[in-house]
Amino acid sequence: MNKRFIIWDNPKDAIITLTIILMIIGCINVFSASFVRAEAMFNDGKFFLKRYAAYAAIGLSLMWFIGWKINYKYLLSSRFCNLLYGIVFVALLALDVVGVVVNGSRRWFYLAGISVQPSEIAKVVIIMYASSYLGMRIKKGIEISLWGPKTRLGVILAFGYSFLIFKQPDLGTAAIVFALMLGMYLVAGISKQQVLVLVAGGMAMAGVLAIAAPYRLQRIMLWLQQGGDERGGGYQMAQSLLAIGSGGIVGTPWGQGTSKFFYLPEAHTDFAFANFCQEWGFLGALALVGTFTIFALALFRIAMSTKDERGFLLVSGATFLLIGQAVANMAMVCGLLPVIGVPLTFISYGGTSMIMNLVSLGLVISVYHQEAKEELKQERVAQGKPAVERNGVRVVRPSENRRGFNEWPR
Amino acid sequence: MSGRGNLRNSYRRFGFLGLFFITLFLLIVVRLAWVQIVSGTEYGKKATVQITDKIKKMSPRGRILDRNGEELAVSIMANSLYADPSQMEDNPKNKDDQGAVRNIRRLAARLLAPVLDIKEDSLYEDFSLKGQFVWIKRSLSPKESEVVETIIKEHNIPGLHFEKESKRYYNKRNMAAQVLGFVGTDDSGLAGIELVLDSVLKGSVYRREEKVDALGRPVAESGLHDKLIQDVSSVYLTLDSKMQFVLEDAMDDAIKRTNAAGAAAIIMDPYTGEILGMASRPTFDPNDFGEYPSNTWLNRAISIVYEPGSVFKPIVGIMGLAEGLITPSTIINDQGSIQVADRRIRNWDGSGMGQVPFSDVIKYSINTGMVELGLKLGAKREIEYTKRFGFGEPTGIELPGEEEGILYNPDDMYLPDVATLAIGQGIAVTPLQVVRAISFVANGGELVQPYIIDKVVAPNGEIIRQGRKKIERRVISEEVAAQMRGMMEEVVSSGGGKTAAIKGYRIAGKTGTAEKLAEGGGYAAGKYIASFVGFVPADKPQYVMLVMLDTPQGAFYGSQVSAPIFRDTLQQILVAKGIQPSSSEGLPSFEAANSKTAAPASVKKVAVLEQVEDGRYKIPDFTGLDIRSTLQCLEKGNLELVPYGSGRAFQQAPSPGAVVEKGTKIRVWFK
Repeated sequence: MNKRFIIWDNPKDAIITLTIILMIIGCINVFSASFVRAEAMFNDGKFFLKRYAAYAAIGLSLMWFIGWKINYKYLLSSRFCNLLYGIVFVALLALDVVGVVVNGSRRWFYLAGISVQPSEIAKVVIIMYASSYLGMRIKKGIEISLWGPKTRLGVILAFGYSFLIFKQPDLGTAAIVFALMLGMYLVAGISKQQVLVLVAGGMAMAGVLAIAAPYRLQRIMLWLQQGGDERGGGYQMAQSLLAIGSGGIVGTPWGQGTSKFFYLPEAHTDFAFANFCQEWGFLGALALVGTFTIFALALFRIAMSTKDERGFLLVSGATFLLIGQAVANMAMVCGLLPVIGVPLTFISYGGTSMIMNLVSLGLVISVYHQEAKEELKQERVAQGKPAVERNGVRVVRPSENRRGFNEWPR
Repeated sequence: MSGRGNLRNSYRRFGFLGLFFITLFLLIVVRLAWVQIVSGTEYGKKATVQITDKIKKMSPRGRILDRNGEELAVSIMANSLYADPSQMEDNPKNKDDQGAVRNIRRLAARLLAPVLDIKEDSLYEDFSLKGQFVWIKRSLSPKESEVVETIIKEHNIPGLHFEKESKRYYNKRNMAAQVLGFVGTDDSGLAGIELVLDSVLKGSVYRREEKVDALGRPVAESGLHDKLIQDVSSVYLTLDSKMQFVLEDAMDDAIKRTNAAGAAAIIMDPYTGEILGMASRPTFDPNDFGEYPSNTWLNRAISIVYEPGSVFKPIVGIMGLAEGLITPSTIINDQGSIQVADRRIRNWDGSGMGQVPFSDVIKYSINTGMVELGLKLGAKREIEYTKRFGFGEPTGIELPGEEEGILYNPDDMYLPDVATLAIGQGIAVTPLQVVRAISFVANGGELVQPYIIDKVVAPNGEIIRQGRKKIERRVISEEVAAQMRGMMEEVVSSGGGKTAAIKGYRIAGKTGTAEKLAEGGGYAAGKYIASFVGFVPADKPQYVMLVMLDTPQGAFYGSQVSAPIFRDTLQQILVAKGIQPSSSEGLPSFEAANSKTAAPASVKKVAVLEQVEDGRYKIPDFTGLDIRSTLQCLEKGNLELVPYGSGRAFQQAPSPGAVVEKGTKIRVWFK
């Protein structure tokens, strides 16, 4: 667990460093991509930058609290997970009433002046629930099956979320939420037949959904044509490629990219990567992809050395969330995938998403800390010492020892 | 712990997924290399093309001013209002003070509907459109724009923006409308001076490449417009807006009283040919020219032809004088009518005056006497002189659509034609041609070319075109001109044009009433053109003025309807311009009364307007001055007098010694 990771002493340090790097890049890029729009909308070019910083501060506090102060196992108790699931379920239901319509769908509501996107929270809840639910069952040796009566609850619950999110409507996020749960099942160890069923089912589902709504089929057709219909439905994709391509090898100087002048829709959110590529060029993009790759490797390292089933699943889920979404976003922005609304971790502007990303990192760090402790225990056992100091004697540092011996509880 | 065993499969699965992610990262890098390196140049070019807009930017059109620099037509960059509907969504950012989400679209539509004079529902529809740009109203008036701005600020409405666009304003609405003309939507002059000097007024066209955003709005700072304003030439007309104002007023009044179908009036300086006033009825407001029928756009002072009638008599009389056929005292026998070949030509009342000198022929507009003179002249000389006097050809004034008139070919003239030409029939002229012909009587025999463009001034102050007096030719001798002036003065002092007399001034003039020419040829029965042309003061003419009424209802003689307009208009102008009367006989009582009673010191007192610095004047003490002297004094500084009462000044605001801007209203009380 504590082995060196590339230039860092351990993968945890790598994750923290890389997170900070990504957030600095995010800050710079969000500002550059949004100041024109912010100036036009709020007369304040730094509007989105300030918000980004504020959300980052909230997220980092939560990450520190969860990562350093809380044992993830408490958070993964089935009672707590059920509670979390319930709260977010109610929030998703409540969107119908208190949600605000933006671009024709109800995804946000406002709580004390802060916009909250419950579907982003749902992603993390799904990961936690799956870790708790499936982890427990792996531990008990129960065979994991998508439809087995003892293990199917996760699928059903994820479907519940997806259905509500789908109704907002936000098919992209609905699919991601459901896919996260299926990914957890996949890692948890469903049979190979079920894996095949998943692959086949996924393809069939994509086909059905595409045909059910003409605009989706159109999007896919546009994706296959690559930059077709520049003035109509393919406008966003064409603009995205134009932004990326015009960056060339070294990019326009920072802030000089042209896409932000209302050419590229969502330039500071879902398509922030395009703006980044335009201003920093191929070399910048390479560095960013590289950063994400190392970030991914660090997460893999932690996951692979986590022995606790629930912890392992939690880290896996966080990896799907942080890296999977990043991969999907970048692939979408550069035209390898059809356009689906998925943010780029730390780079896209998005309050809830940013906070939840940091919360999931907090969970990963918590797992890391617990695993490190566990490793220490194992070492002690291997050395023939008791795993934990017993006999009611607790080793405390003098500074913590502020009570008389007779005051100790039994 | 059993975890390790249970998880072995999971690690492997996770490892596969990890490899999958890494593969995708690699794919993304390959894809980026393709897009950025291989196609990078191409995309770069496309992006440059996309943000570069080759714009053609007009500087606001040049100003048109009167001779004193008063603005008649100006272009300003007007605010045009557009909406970005995407910013007006029921977005939680759009909250009111209580934190409740507002329906911005409905709110904005409700608030703006009365200001913009657009239906609330139609505004709401515009605000609800998809997209980020929709024009709400182009070229708002400054007041509208201000109100809208206040509403936007007060209610904190997002998504409403302004863009500057050039708009033409005719400050004085329909004043000199036909002279000024108007401008179409593409900022090109369509009539009048706007058309003639379109290339000058249009000024510079800026073609440049500019970075624009997706909505075509320039990305750079927009200090641009302000700089452009300087870059256009200004056109100064010879018109005097004070005179023009009086003229327009008189025309409106005349139309109201006589119900005439049309009218034209011209005031010209007989020596220089400068047009000081030119009005035409029916008229229109060039600010909204499209809402008026196109016949209102016609400048009747130059673009219609009519038979001048008796107004032509002095002109034929001059031919006789010049040829030595007559003198003012030549005795003519007026029998009341005269037989010419198969036609009998009568006086207007059919009665004869017997043995009269020729001057009475003009004075009382005796047809028989004129016919006799015409017959003596003969067709060839008549037409030769008529042409020499500038008829049958455009005067060359710098206005579009000038008619040249119609003249007989002398070889085609029968005897009756020769006879009737002498009384102004069988010839078609434009009002301006008549004014020009009477001008050479007034100025001592020189035919001048009328002009209306005083000067064109480049933005740097350089005069790039200067209107100048142009004498076409000397047409008669000073003596002949003087003789005719004398005769025409008698017309007004004691003849058929008494209705044009202004007390204290020597006026010369001639009335005319002619049957209207029908459009298809021949005469329009019962329709008359009543006109009066004259000049003042008769001994030292300053202004030549013509009034022409087309088909007045009721009274239709020139002396009845046109001469009074001449009188009323010039009376005001003479006072305003401070032209001294030739005699104090019959002047308004205060003049006479004060010249006797007032202390000599106060009468002699001269108030001098002191120019403190450019455009700022120090107001003198007006106490004891009469209205005219006060006006004269204020005139120099282009200050406006608001008189109260009559007599001599005893009180004023601002008080003596105050320094004011040019154009300030100065109130003076007289008693």
